[in-house]
Amino acid sequence: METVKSLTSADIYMIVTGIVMGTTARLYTMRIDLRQIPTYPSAYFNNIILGFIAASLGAVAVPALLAHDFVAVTFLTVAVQQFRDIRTSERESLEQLEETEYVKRGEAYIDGISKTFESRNYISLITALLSVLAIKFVSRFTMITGIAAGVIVGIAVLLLCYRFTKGKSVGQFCNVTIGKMEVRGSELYVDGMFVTNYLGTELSRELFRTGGLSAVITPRDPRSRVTLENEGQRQAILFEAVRALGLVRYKFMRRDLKNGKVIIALVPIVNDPERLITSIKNTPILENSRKLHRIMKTPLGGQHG
Amino acid sequence: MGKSILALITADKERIVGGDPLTLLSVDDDERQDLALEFSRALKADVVQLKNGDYLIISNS
Repeated sequence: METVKSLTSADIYMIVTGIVMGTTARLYTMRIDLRQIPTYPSAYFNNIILGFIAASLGAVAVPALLAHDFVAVTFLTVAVQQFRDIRTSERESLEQLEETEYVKRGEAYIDGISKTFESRNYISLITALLSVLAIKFVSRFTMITGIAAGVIVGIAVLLLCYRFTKGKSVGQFCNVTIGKMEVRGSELYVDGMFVTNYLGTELSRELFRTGGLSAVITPRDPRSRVTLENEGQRQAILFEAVRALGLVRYKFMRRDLKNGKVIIALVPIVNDPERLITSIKNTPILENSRKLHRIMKTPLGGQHG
Repeated sequence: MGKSILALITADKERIVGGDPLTLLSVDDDERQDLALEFSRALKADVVQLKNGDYLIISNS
């Protein structure tokens, strides 16, 4: 309780700035992740609150330490536990939704999404912590200088962490084009490559002839195939494509073993080829499919997209 | 991928040699086609038309 008693107004400014910076960090990263958040607005709101808690834990760590309350630093272990819970609950929620989607996200994608949620909270915590530390360093100047320093450091940390944790997307190492479909009897070909022979009924053939859409994903170099052809990665691409366009019936994905292309063919609700290409290109590269060093590399100031 | 053959609709009696899936005989092309469509609708399954004119009904789970 001594720590509480020793709180000065300067401490309060410091902690509040830290919390604000940490929460802002979560809001900023949330804006970009909105695509992956299962529900809006409830889950969105939950995550803002969790980000606020993460920021609070980060913000009080430094003042607690300076007040010689070393036990309070064990707070951080509570934070770590809480973030792991966020990952678990996010995974469970997504797993339960699997059956209700047009296409499954796949375990690999769910793993990636839930880890992202976890890491976003760490970003909040670190941003808050380093903001407070910065304010403390310049505390001999005026309050305004201190807060300004906190804000600047907070923004810098946020951007740096964000760049570091941000993954790449399929469009960065693959070309995506719209394929030309051809129905030959029971078989479907895209750009001359076999996709499926499931078109046994006249109805299904007609569906593809009139409303079918297909895309061909070509890795820019043979080594990128290793990443693209990962089962989980392909499932994620299919999921994103279907989520963007909806699905009337049939979604096929086929690897062309000879030239290393991946073909997606489906009968979408919204027949928008541009949107199909965009959704495929924007599919994140899953961390567990990133085997190549060149693709794994996330330079701090490097590419993002 | 839990694929399994739910039924085979054939035009040739010689091709019915037993096995697990239900095998139906129908020599009429149109009738086979209709059967395949009705099966696929009832079972929410996929249909493959083989080159010899037979139909396979495959579960698409």
